[in-house]
Amino acid sequence: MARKRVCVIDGQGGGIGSTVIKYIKAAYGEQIELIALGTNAIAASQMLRAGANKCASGENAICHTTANAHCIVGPVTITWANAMLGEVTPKMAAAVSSSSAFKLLLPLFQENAEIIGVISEPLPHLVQTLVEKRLQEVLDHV
Amino acid sequence: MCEANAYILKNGEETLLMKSVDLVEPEPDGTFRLVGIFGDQIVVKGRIKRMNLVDHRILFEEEEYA
Repeated sequence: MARKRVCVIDGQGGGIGSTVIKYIKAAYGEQIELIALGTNAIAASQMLRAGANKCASGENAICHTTANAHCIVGPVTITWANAMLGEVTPKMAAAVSSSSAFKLLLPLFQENAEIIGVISEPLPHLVQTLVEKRLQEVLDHV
Repeated sequence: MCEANAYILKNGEETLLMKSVDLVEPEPDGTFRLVGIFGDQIVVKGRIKRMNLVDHRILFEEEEYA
């Protein structure tokens, strides 16, 4: 049976995506196909270094690859046009939002916005919750 | 977000330097490089006065930063 495909998307320095990939890799090893998609090449290469199976960067890579993913993981801003200092293009945001893949989004952003009801947690705690509690449930149902 | 925030003490008042600090690295020239979880960075001239980890606060003491 083909492995489930999880796309981790990040931009700028790729720090959040790299953290997510490290945790997923530690928990799942090679059971899933882990694809790193960067809004820029630096973010993509950082995520590849963190243990992704493949990486790509840029608008077309994100638009094309997210269409065939089982699950998309990243900061919530990957669904916001012009987020990350404009790195997230409207087409990228639309592609992620429109993908039939289940999205697991981290409430981390620098934009002038607030998500009501979100409890402030350090990044490692958020990623632990994502990997240890939610990701398996999602993969079981896609 | 709940990472540490960095402040600097100026004229007895604390001013926010950076939110969500991921890394504090001393540089050879005596400054500190602060890197945030989004990859943003600043260089702080001065010394660390206090790190309050339960409250997620790093306090620097000195007026100028590069």
